[in-house]
Amino acid sequence: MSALGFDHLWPLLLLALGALPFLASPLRLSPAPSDDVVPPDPLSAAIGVGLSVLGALALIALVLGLAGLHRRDQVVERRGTGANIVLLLDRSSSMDSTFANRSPDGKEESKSVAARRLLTDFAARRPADRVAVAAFSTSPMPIVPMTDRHEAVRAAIAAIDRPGLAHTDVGRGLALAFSMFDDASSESSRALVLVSDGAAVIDRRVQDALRDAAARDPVRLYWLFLRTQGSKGIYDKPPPGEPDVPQTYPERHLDIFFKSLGLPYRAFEARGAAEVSAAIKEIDQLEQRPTTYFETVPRQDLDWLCYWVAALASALLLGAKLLERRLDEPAAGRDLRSAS
Amino acid sequence: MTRTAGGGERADLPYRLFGRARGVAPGIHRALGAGLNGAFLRHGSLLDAPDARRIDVRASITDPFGGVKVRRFENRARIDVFVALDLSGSMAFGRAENEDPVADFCAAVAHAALRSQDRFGMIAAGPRPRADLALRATRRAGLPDEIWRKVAQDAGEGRGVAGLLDMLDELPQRRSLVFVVSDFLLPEPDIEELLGRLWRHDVAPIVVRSSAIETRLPRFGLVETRDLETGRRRTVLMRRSLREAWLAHARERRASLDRLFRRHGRPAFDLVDRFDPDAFADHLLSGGV
Repeated sequence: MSALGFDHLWPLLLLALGALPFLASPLRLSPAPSDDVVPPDPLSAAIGVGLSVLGALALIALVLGLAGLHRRDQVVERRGTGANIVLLLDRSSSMDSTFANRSPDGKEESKSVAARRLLTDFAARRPADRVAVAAFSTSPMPIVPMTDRHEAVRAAIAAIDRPGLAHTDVGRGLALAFSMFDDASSESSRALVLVSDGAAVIDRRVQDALRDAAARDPVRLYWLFLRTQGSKGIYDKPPPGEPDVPQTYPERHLDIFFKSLGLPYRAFEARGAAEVSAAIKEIDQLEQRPTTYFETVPRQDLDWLCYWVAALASALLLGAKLLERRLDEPAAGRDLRSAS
Repeated sequence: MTRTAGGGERADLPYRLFGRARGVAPGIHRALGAGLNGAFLRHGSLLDAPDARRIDVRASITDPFGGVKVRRFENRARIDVFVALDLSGSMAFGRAENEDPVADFCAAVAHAALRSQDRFGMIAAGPRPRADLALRATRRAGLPDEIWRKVAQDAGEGRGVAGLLDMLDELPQRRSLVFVVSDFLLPEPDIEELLGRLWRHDVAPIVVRSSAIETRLPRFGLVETRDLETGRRRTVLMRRSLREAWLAHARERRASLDRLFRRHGRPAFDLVDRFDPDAFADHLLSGGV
């Protein structure tokens, strides 16, 4: 596919007219007995060629303009600093309540709204990122594959404050997120951001699959834990006597599991929007690596340029026409003589 | 002076053949040999010319050898006047249907030749021989108008004078006066050949010129010229420096032509824009000097 395109192809047949100026001249011809009467003059020869070229240029530019010359939309490869990020978002119904575990009212926003707002800012700040979005609740949901189209990413993030579902299946969500890194994302710049307000027990088999995936595709793992007031935190240890099992302390055990994966891992525990914002800023600063991303340059019409070229060439030809003189303009003496 | 077809003026022209004419038909040109009447030439012996009516008594008495002297008179003969007309494409320049200096000239020469008891003939050709325009030496009445019409109708076309060179063989062997009418915008070797093959005759070159391409040039502007012979177009930006170069070029060409003509006998007459019989008569009388 070439870079230039045409709206209509049939006017291009008229390009044959471009040969006309080399066959005919805009000036009226003065017959001369011989070329030898004109002394050789390089400037005149250049002007002669120039007039023909101008005529051809005017015709060709007009035809190209009529054909609707344009530059096609193009995908340009650019280098920037950013990362290939998979956002894995919790869509469980608890995300719809506020950090204080209440229904959102006018004053306090829900966790999902806060996450949406802050993640939208995050994505907007980082134009060089390639982002994939996935969500999970009862089952994992791929939303946007790894892409550099930020409108799609923004729309996907904007959808996370829809009312969620009941369960939280972190394990299969993570498995999906690992699978969303494509070959185009270089290994050094892969990051997985898990946004959730709770955790769940990960099935033993899913755990094995995740360990495999982590060994195969090493990524940097960020867990943004939106801690609801009164719920257990990541670092809460069970009091003595209580069994330390994932069923009662799922957050603590998910943290332990992440640490055991052998990946660069950070957990952020946020109790409010401000802390979420700080965590996201930190992720923003950490994920600054050289990446390759593609930017789409939209189609650009070039017919106005063609018309300008044609107008300019025609104006120059008009100037030449106005300068036109002829050799055999009748002399006054001859007229007088034939009248007598 | 008469006005005839085309409005051209025709007058008697004082042309002369360089040297003495040959031939027996009576005319007005000095010829070889001595005759019985006319202008006195010399004395001769009665034995050479046994004509008692021409005995010069005084010369016979004063002759120390005692011979009888007879007056001999100059022979006068007519000559053939030819026009060799170049009808290549370049000759179409500066000639209109009713304003044709070349036709005027040819008709004027024909008229003058008839008036001078000479015969007039013509050959005309461009790149191809033109048998229809060839005319044997003749004294037919009405010749000038016929010549005028024929020449005025034929503007000339094609490139080069190869046909004219071929037709030079049609000229008579006897020494004639040949007016070579051309613009001489030819390669110098062609002109040399043309004049060289006319060695037998008295050649008077007539250079057809036009002030439109020599002096009446526009001062400034774009001119696109078309070569009448090759059809090649050339754009010229006329300006002061080029105009001067153009005029110098024209003068230089005329000067080199003049050198060439003088090598072959006579200086040329310039037929500029229109035919002026008085100027031509002056030229003939003065020998072009």
